[in-house]
Amino acid sequence: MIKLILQEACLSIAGNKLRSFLTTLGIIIGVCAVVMMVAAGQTVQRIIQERFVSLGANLLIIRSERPKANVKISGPTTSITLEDANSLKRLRGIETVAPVLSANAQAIRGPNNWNVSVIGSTPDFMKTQNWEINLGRMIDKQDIRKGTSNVVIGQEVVDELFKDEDPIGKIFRVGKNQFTIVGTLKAKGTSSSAANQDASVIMPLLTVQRRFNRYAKLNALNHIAVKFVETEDLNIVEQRITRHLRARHKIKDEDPDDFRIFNVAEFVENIRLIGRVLSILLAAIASISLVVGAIGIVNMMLVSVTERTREIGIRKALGAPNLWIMMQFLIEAVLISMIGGVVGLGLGIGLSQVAGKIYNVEVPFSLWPVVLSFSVAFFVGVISGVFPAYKAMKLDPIEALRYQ
Amino acid sequence: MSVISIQNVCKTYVMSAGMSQDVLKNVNLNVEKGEFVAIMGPSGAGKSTFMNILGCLDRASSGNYYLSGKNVSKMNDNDLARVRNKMIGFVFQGFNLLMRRSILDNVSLPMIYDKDGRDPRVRRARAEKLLDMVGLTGFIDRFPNQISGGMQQRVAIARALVNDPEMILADEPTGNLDTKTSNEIMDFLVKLNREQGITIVLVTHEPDIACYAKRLVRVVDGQIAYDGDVKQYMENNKA
Repeated sequence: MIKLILQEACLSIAGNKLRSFLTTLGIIIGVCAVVMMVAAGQTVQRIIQERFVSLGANLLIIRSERPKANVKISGPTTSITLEDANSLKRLRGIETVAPVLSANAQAIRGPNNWNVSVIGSTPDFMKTQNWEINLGRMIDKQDIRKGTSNVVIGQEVVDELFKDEDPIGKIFRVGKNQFTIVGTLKAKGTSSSAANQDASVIMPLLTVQRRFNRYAKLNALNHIAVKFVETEDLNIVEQRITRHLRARHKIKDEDPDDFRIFNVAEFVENIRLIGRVLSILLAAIASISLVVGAIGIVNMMLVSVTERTREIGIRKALGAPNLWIMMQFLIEAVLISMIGGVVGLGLGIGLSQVAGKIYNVEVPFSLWPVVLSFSVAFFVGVISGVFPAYKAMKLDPIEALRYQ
Repeated sequence: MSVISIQNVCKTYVMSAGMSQDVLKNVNLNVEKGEFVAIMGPSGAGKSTFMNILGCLDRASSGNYYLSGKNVSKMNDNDLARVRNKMIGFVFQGFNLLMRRSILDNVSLPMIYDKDGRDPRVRRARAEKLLDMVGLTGFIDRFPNQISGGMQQRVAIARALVNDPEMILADEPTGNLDTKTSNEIMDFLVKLNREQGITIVLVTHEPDIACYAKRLVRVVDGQIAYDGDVKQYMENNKA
């Protein structure tokens, strides 16, 4: 029976092509919008996530935090020191510790100059950040000990100051001082760490202390990057560090920490959540157009029932059961909606891939918008078909036959 | 066994505020298999209501209606639909074909509502056979608006016969046709009645058309005022 009704419904839809198409258009646009918005949300989520995950989930950043009660204090704005960093190395479960002292400066070479972030650290810094050397070498232990002016520069600095040259061995100026390039970093785009990797100049910590920092004697740091053993539990490591640093800083039990530990895992989780909320929000906005599409179907089906009153009368007189009449209109609505769903889905996937090509980002293809748009289209069809179908079913055959 | 056996059928329309109107009052009628009955009557006399009840499109307020021995007066909508589908072949004044469907589809239509008609090959063969019988062999793929009124009515007759009904109920079948075509259609119905023994109930207001039948039933004021031979009535009532 369903097959026959389906045939009848197909014939009805095909019999009024323009109207069927216009009605379907509402659903096409709705589903297309939802699919595209979901794809956009997922893409944004994925891009952000990828950038953060590249840092590694077992990275902790320790920054100083001034107690809130102090309005203004003179002296260094940081309570984290090189000694803190060195002492952390002995803690259980800690893999790598990198002290970081940074500054902003202008890199100059001939007529070119570029704003760079100067990072003073140790060779371990590369391990904590998952950064890699492209050409040359990383600054080594000897550089660290002596505080040499050997530096490693990011791709952006290479591009801006050494257009088509090999930068290794070249000398350039950062701020007032001369530096020698011993290596370059692999380009990575904007990273999520405090520094922009591609615009970085990495040099020995001692060098930054001497040439850029006023508080060199205090051995103050901007932050400490800590990479812990992956099998360790994040919270336990954090507790361990907190206890250790509180003891070192001689903080009384009732006083708050003068430092703060940021962990990437939590951050990534938050970003993921934001991405998910973003996707849902976009999809919700897009589904408004689906609702409009559904109203379009209701409208068309109601017109169709009125227009085909006589047909319904004929069918009833010839023995069509009520259920059959109802199913015929219901299936017609569902069919129109499903056709719209399929076309809209195809269009949505196609357009989001095209947009991905234009903006040069990879748009993920996931199954759930497919499943979602099919089921949504189905339910939209059912919901918008029920009332008109019921109306058709309830028509009195005598009245319907008399209808002109 | 009678095809139609109507006993004390009344039809009352309840109007608003407790008012009601008796349209049919204690109607009794028996039609035997193979009869050709014309129902006549002035407009407003209950002719249409009577026809609707005969065609199982409406139910009597009281009384019983046996169609081939089956009491249809207390049936629900779906059972009535089945009765209409299997036992009654309708021929309407306005042909009532589906305009967007081919002649073949129109003739096949009643079969799709019947469990025995689920096989498309069976449906097609049956519809082709009947279209052959009404002389429309070459027209099966045409649409109703591509053929003449007389042809459309013949399509309707083929459709009426497609499920082997107990009777054909023709409601003003010639109302939309010119005299010549009307006569052709009526000749065809007479032939069906004579050669195949199909029971025909014809509702009309034209005496000329009623004369094709053998028996005349006149409904006046909700009651049967005359039930007998057509010719005799026409003789008696020559103006």
